[in-house]
Amino acid sequence: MAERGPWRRDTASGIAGGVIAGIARRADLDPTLLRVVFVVVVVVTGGLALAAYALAWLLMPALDGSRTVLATRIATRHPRRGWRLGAGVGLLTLSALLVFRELGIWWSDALVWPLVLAAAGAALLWSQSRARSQREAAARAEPAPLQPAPPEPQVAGEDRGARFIDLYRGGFGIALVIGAALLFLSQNDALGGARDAAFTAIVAIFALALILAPFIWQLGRNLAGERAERIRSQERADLAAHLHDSVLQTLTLMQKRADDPREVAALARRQERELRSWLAAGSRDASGDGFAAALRSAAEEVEDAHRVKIEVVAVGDCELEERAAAVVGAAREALTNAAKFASEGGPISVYAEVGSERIEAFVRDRGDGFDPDDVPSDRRGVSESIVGRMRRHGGAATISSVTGSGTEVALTIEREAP
Amino acid sequence: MKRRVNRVSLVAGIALVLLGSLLCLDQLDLISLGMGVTAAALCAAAGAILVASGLEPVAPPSAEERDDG
Repeated sequence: MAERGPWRRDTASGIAGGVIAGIARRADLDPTLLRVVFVVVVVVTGGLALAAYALAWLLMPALDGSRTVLATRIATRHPRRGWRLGAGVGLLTLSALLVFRELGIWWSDALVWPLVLAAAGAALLWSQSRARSQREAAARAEPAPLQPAPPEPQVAGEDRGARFIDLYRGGFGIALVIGAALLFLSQNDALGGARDAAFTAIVAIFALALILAPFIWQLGRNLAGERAERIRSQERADLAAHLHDSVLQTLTLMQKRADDPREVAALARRQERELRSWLAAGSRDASGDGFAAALRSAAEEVEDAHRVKIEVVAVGDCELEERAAAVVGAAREALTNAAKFASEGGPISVYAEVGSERIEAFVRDRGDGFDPDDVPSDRRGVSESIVGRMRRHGGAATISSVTGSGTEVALTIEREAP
Repeated sequence: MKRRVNRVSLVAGIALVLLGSLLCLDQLDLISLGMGVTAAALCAAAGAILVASGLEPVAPPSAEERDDG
């Protein structure tokens, strides 16, 4: 069935610019048939249809939602500024020389092209150094990140592209200036003697390059290998330092507290958490500040405060907005109650699930259980910090407790609309 | 809202006005333009436009352009 909406180029299934494929898609026609018709129209119109194709290619947006080619070219016109500046300065120089010539202030025609080329090359080099200093100033102006993050591939690619453009433009500018000087010398017959010397030097350099190429290649490989070995050695040193600072110290502490099993278990849990977070430090997701991280952090605090084991499983994640923070607060209170009154029954578990519409969290313990109705009215922990807190934020807290089998606190709240 | 002057358009406009004036004066036989002067004027006009365009500061990307990335 034909698709409605604006005409778009189908670059994925197109052969050249995707114009005919896009038209065929929009009009629900066979693209091959349309291509044959297009070829016939090109022949009949004497190539005019090709111009129409080029115009459509410029003006039709692509199917993937990107802008038109023309809009993209206009938006990214700044990399060509150096060329425009070079050409402009060259033209202005030519114009000034022509005016001098008309006015009779003239030395030699041999000056014209060398001066024009030299001026264009100098302008190109100047614009390149200006663009680089602007980029460096912009980079300095950006605030430094709090934590080092690995460079994004796209940014690294853009940086490489900018460096290549700099190199290309700078090399072209230098070539223009050198070419101008050589042209001037050549037109003044000053290169006769230098030509032989230059030819000899070029041949000698080429021969030397042939001789030294394998050694240079090997040297480059050795340097790369040495660099890789240095990085590996540094990583090993970091690992050894971390093991000494954390794991060995904890093991020493555990030996000293061997008579207190709860303390030993708490130390082991703390060390386990630290190691896990250290191992996951390379991952960006590890340093999140969302709901799941806040829930884990709350569980760790209760663990440390009450020397109990809490297992946290969080599925999905979201920003720690007001409702999510309410769930974390209520879960922390439920965990504290479980740690105080039900830690003997085994580990306390927290299961949280962040769905597209709601957040659910379940805090379970295997303690003796209790009857919520028996809680004295002056105790505000369950009624206010759990049930009341969830209710105030539009959620609900359900406490299911069976004497002798443990307690489950279920927290449910709808997510805030984005 | 204050309207931002497009310097490239301004320079191009002035250059074209000057060029057109020269050609008009030549047509009215008030001045006589030789090939050298005409070529110099054309080069100067094109050069001025290109230099103005090359020196134009790059505008920061719009919100739409940032979204594209």
